[in-house]
Amino acid sequence: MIDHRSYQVALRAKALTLSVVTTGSISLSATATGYARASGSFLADGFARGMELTPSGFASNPVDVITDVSALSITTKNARTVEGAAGSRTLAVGLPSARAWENKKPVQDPPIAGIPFVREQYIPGPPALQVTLGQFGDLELLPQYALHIHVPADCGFEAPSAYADAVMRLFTPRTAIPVGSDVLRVSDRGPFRGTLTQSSPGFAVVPITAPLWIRTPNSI
Amino acid sequence: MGFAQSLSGFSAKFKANLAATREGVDAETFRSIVEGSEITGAPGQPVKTRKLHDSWTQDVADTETVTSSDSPYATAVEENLNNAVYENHGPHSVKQTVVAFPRIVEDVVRGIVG
Repeated sequence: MIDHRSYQVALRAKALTLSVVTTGSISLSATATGYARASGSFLADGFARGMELTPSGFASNPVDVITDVSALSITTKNARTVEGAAGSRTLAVGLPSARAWENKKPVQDPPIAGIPFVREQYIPGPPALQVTLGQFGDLELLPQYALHIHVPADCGFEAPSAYADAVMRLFTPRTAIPVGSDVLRVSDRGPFRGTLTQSSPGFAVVPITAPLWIRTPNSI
Repeated sequence: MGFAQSLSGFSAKFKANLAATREGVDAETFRSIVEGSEITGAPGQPVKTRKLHDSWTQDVADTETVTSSDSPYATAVEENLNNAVYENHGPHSVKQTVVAFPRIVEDVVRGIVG
């Protein structure tokens, strides 16, 4: 049965699982200006300026934006409470927490300068086409799901590229997304990303689109 | 009619159908992106000054056809980067045309061979 509403709900739920970069569970300390580690490398992990960072395992876990990265330290936009080194802590980057879901105002409108945000678009696609015969014959639908990742301007290409790559991996070709008794799949031709361009003042944006494919029984 | 003559006739018809398919697919692809299409669901390019609409061109070479625009805001409209409101037509026409391209080919072929 044609059910674009459920498709979009399932795609959004998938997008929310996005994992861009993570330290994994390691020993970390919190400094007055961000975070530090004694070994390993934040750069090698893939952290970059302009990403939104989510800490876990600390006494205080404020979401913040990375303003500088070196192998052993991360500087964040805001000062934070110092905490000594301890294990079982994680720093991770996922889908930006500022989200402009389709036809819904983001919590912060206009977006706050220096903080990444994501905008969602669902494109229903061409007309439904009956592709098999008979009662409950299959309808073919070709919707598309787009995420536009907006990052702070002047933060370089690394953060937007990492976000875009992570989205493309999440929606890699032939990814199956169950929707009720049907299965929505990323088509063989996708996903694809657009060029990094200037967005609203203070932001750059990279659009990523996943073309999808689903066959569902005609309900007549 | 001998076998050779039949084969020659088949070959000529095949070439003519192929050329007509190519011509029809090119035309429908261009129409879908620029004007919009009921086959692909593409809305076509928004028209205000006609600059974007008229910037779209199609270059047909022996083995490929390139449909493109040199408008500086073609990308922003295609991706709907600024969530703009359009008085007519809309964004995503290239994407819609690409995903529904097999339907364009099918529609054109059906029109040629019946």
